[in-house]
Amino acid sequence: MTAAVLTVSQVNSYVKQSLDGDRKLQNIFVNGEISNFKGNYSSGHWYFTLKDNRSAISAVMFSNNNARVRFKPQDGMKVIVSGRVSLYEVTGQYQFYVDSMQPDGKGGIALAYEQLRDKLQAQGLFDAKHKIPLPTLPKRIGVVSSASGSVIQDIKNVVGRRCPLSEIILYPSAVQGEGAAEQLSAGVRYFNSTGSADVIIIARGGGSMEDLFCFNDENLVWAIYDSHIPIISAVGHETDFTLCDFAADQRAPTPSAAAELAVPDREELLAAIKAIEKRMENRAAQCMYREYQDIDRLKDIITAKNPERQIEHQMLWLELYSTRINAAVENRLTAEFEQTNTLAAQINALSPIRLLQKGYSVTTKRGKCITSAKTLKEGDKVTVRFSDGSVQCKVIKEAN
Amino acid sequence: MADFEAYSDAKKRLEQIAAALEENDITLEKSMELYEEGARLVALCYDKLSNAKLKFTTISNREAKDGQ
Repeated sequence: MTAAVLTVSQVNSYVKQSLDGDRKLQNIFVNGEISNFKGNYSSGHWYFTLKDNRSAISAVMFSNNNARVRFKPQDGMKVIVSGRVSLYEVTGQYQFYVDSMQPDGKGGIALAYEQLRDKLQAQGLFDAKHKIPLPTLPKRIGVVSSASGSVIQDIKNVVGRRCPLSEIILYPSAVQGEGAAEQLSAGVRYFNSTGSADVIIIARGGGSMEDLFCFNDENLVWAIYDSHIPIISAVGHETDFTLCDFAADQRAPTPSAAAELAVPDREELLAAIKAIEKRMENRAAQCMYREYQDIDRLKDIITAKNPERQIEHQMLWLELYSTRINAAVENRLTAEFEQTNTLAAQINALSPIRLLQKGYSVTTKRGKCITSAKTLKEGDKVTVRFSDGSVQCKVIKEAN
Repeated sequence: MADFEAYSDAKKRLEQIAAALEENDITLEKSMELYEEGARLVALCYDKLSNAKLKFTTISNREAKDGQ
């Protein structure tokens, strides 16, 4: 009997039906580690291999299902997936068709973190408007951290070097494991209820996500949010953010950096004092200068009122006026003199003597000047005056 | 007085003194008086900043409970 010859498609189709018909392969949960993860850019489907330490199985998660996954799967991530086993007839490859995916172990923590972060963010606990500015010079620095280990030592070193005027008050708290979250919250609340700190540093050195998990506690986030004292969070490394970091008023990458944020540097304080000193000195010098100026001004006034000066001044005045008076008198005399000369010349020009010299004469009768021939009678005696003398005359014949 | 208070009080007073000195109608006498006080406070601030020793306390369990 000759066996029937089947096509490849027939074989694959048969195997697929067998797998699909097996109820033990439907709706199953499988845990494993993701490797060769590839997200198809255009379709949005996820292709990866799920493996444990002995075996591997190809897996696919279509975009309609993977849209519900809150985290981004990565190689090495442990997950629990649900779905079914079937065959992809085109390649004859059997694979796991994933309906849902949950992180397993560490991934679960990350997911919980993400979920709580989104919730608290939506409630506004991380909003910038709630951030309190740090004091410029805090007297007391409340530290919530482990009493042992390098964190508190680092903070002490930095504060001691930068600003030894400040005081550190440590609220010792577990920083990982059971009860740590409660102790950390209690520390924040302690400083708030006692008012015994001006700034709070909540700090821990680096650690794994699990180690730092107490800093993602919801109660702690609320305690930080409720705090009226500004809080600096320095948890883990620069790359790890905890919810505590988001809620705090300031975040520092390390405990030492938190201490640097908390207190000013002594050099800055010294510089500030120096600046005030300079300001004072300048001003005092200015005051002195102003005083000197006043004194100079007064000196000038007093010197000006010196009696010797007064006399000098009077002398000068006198000299000036006497010169003026002399000049005036001299001018006047000269003017008078000239005027007199002029008059004399005029008078001279009009003198009757000058007429007599020209040949005229004056006739007088008993001292009276005769101006008319009719006033004389025959026999009248008259005097005729010439320029150089007089003669006595007698009228011989009257005028007709 | 504790170093911190001594320092911060002095600093505050220094600010006032510097501002008062900058008033226009200050008398010479007053300015000398303020300057003298200021110089003393500057010295105090330098001293506190240079010589302060960090204080450190740890809250005991009982105190921590009292504070709740």
